[in-house]
Amino acid sequence: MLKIVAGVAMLLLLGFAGQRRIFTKLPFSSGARLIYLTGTEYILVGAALGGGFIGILDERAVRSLTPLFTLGLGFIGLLFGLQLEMKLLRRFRGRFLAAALLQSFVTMVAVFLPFYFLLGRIFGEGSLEILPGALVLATTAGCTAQSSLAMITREHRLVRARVMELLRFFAGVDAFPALIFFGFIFCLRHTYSPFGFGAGSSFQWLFLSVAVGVFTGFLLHLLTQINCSDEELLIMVAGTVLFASGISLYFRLSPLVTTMIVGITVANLPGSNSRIFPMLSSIEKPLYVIFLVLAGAIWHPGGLTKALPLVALYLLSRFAGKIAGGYLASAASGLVPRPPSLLGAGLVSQGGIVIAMVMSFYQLGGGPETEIITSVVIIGVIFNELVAPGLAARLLRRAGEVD
Amino acid sequence: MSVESGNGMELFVCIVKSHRHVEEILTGFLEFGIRGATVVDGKGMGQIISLEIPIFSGFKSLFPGGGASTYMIISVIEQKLIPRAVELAEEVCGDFSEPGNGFLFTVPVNRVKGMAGEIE
Repeated sequence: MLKIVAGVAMLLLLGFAGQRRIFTKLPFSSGARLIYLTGTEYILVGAALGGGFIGILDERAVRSLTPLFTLGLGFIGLLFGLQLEMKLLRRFRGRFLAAALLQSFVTMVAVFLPFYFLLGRIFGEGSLEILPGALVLATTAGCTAQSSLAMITREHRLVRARVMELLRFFAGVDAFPALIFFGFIFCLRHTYSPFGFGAGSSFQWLFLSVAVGVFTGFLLHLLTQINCSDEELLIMVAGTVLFASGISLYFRLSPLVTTMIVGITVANLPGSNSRIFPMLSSIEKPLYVIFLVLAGAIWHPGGLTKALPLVALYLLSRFAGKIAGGYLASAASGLVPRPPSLLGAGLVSQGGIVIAMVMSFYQLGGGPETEIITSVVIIGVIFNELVAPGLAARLLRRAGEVD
Repeated sequence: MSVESGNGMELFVCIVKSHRHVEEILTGFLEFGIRGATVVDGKGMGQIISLEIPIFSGFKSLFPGGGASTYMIISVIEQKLIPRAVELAEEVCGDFSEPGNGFLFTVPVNRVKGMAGEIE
């Protein structure tokens, strides 16, 4: 019990102290800055606090924090969903959205195929974790983080840079299809149908997940129509998030996906409360630091040598997928002159929502298979965050947008 | 009350960053007998040009200032009530000479029509 209290206190302390340092301007050299500013150091702090070293956040302690990180996952899903307003999406050409989804889908396929066959050999042909494992790797690979692109935009004060704008649009929306597929992974694990008939059992669970999200979204919309203070609003939002996440957890579905649907519903209903998004975005940094530490805590660096070949394949297949997806998306965007063919090189950054996805998978998973998959993704995130700014800057230099 | 000339009236403009501060200022106004004010949702210059690094909401960050709001309280107030209104605003938001607490100014008004009457 004492360990759990110490773990929670440590997480909150790190979260609120760390938010001031993450993604800020500090006088570091460019190499050190990549580690310090992208949050990679918090994964290492988490690994140090985890079962392999200090032990405050060992597996038992992390599992007992389920209510805390269910609420966190709910907040993250809601925040991601709230930004997907149709009126904002319509400001971009329809072809941009199609191109963004295409590059995400191509990346997911490029990672899914090799891992689907390889995991069969590693886990054993009869393992039930082959398809979910390959899908987790594929969906996390499909997402692009904004961090390195936003840092380049800020440092070079880029305005009206069309390639950068396209990259940032792709990175802003490409997690949406990935999250839908990710939600489907949890539906695959069910052995019975929620509505009583056998056909399409997994799709019935996906439908249930979406239905809970839409219903709770309406509920939150109605609750937030009354005039209330910030504290009251926070309580209403937290209550609704706990309700949606709790139902998801009860049915062994992803809280992240259900609350994303809640967010999309609230954002697109007429007269929605515009105060929810700023309120949630003000806590996204401490929340991210807490999730980075937790991700580090569940990662076992001791198993690095075992996971390393898989990490190499994950990085290579993701990079190949991004390059191929970027090439197709560049053609599909319809921009004249056509954006660079190697557009995918600017979409390597990975983090943010991917950390939440891997924690959500860990929450309902277990066993050595989950451990291997989470390790591969976490090491992948660390590596991608290190190389992404350099690759993106090189692409933009070639496009003439950065000196 | 229908003040046609605007003599003795001032336009009170106060920019604050918290919805809670808006509520407290407006409630305080009622206690002074100021019955009308308009609140406009806005974005500060800093919110537009300072690029926050987005983590989970990258799409919204494509619209600068989309995640943050400031509120502009506008009210035409009798000159004699202006010091109390300023004092109230600083009591709620903190000293305006400190950066980040808010911003306030008043200007004389030439003509006013359609203003709400005083509370009896």
